[in-house]
Amino acid sequence: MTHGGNPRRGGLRAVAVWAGRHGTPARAWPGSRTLAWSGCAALFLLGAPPLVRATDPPRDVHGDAAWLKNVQDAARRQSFSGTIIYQRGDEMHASRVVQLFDGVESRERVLTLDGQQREFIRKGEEVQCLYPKLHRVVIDHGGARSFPAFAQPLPDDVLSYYDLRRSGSERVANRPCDVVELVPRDHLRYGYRLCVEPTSGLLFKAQTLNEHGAVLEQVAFTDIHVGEPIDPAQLRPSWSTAGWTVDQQQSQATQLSEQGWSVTPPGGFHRLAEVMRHLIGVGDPAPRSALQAVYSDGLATVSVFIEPGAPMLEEPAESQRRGPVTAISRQVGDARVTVVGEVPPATAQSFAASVVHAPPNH
Amino acid sequence: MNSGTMPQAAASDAPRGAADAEELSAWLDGELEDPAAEPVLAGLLRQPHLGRQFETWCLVGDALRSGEVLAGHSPRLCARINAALADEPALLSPSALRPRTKRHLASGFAVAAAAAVLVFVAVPQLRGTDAPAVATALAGSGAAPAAGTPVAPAAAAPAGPEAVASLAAVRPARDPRLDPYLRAHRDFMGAGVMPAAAVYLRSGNEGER
Repeated sequence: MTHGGNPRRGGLRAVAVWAGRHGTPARAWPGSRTLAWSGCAALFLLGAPPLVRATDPPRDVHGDAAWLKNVQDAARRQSFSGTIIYQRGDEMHASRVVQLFDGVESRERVLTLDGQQREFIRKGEEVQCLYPKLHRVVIDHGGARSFPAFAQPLPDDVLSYYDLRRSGSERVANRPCDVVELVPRDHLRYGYRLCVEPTSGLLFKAQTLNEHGAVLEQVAFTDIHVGEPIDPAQLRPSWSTAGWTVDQQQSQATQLSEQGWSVTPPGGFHRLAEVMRHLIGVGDPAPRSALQAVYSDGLATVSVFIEPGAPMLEEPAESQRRGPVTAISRQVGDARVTVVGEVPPATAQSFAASVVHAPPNH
Repeated sequence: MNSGTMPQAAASDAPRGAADAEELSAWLDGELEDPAAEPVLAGLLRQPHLGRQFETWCLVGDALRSGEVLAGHSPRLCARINAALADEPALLSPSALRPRTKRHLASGFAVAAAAAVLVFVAVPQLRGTDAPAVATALAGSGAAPAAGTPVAPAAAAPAGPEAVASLAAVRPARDPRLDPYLRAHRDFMGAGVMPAAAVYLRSGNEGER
């Protein structure tokens, strides 16, 4: 016998415990010391909920909201430079990130270090995406987006949809960080696990977790320098963009109802914006127009695109996912409806199913 | 107990069979003291259903540990292990010397768990044809490849911890038709709680085609 009994039984045991948590009453396993590594593997394999849950401290909603706000503010008002790693599925990318806050406005440069060369230069709210291989610049005039900020000012009720749990500390980029979990209170959204460096208030690591606690995507600094002088030259693009093709991402505010459309978002998602915009597609002879309605619960954001008259997709109902981003398309009348958001597929489907064409009465 | 070869023993053995399985489970955990272990070993060698139980647990444990071990599994191997057990009258382990606590596990529970694991370890071999369902249902990685998207080679068919890695290697969807939507969504999503750089990187090589 070279196998030994304990690891084997540890595996069974772990599975049984997992099963017990999902329907069958959990049994008190004697001898749980034999929860060997293979048992942990079984839990991991089965996508079990995280083993360690912070015990709920007395809830301090005001303190939690203040904490989130502080992280958000720090992201805008700190100057730093560092290297971040982004990982999703089998993909991993490293980028160089520099941010300079001059007291009024923050500027940022993100330079990819692997794969195709790309650079993102942000000044205030405007972002230039540089694709040197194509000699192309895409200019976004988007909303709040400074690294590593939250999506937008947090709605006061974000803590109505997520529990904030403090879960000890973890070392990231050679600094001790406070670990905070944002645990969704329903199945409409994913959870997040954040590591925040307490001195600067900066987000050093962030993970998006599915309902089983599995990591869908994560990003972390591997090294970072905060508060050190930054040479503005570090914010200049690597290439002159003279002569490059310039695509402007343009959008105009509108109202879906004026266009005869209505969307009913699932619980907790509030309308952020309704715009008419150009979509710059691959191989499109000209930008095409689409209605875009944007919803957020304060952490996750969902866009609903409506394109009247657009040709039907080959797989209109197919749901695709890239890490936490779900995309789903369906046909409503003669319009193509596409939902994109960092939410579980069922949530995206709920958005898509709620789209109704209701021509206004004139 | 000595009726292993009698056909009519099966029905009347049901309660006893469950107890035997529990004993076997305890022995595998090293929780049986020497004198108690001997009849278990004797029963294991005589009773076909215990032999099958043992085989299942071997398979599960090995699958959890290593795909290579699993690949080498065969009834013949289990038979060899059984034969080896005949030369190993008692298993001594430190835990066997401790007082045994009362066991609550119903063997049916364990079998159900074993079945769950077996279903899982079989999955990597199917992923060449059923990769989207696999990735979505089991890995939870969000990696749902589009039809026709190349997936990780299925030949290695690893199991256990390795299976996680290979499942994660199933390529996520990269339908270029989604790029304009992702780019437009990026305008408003800011970053969620993910840093903005992640948002840029999420869109992969969009803009490159």
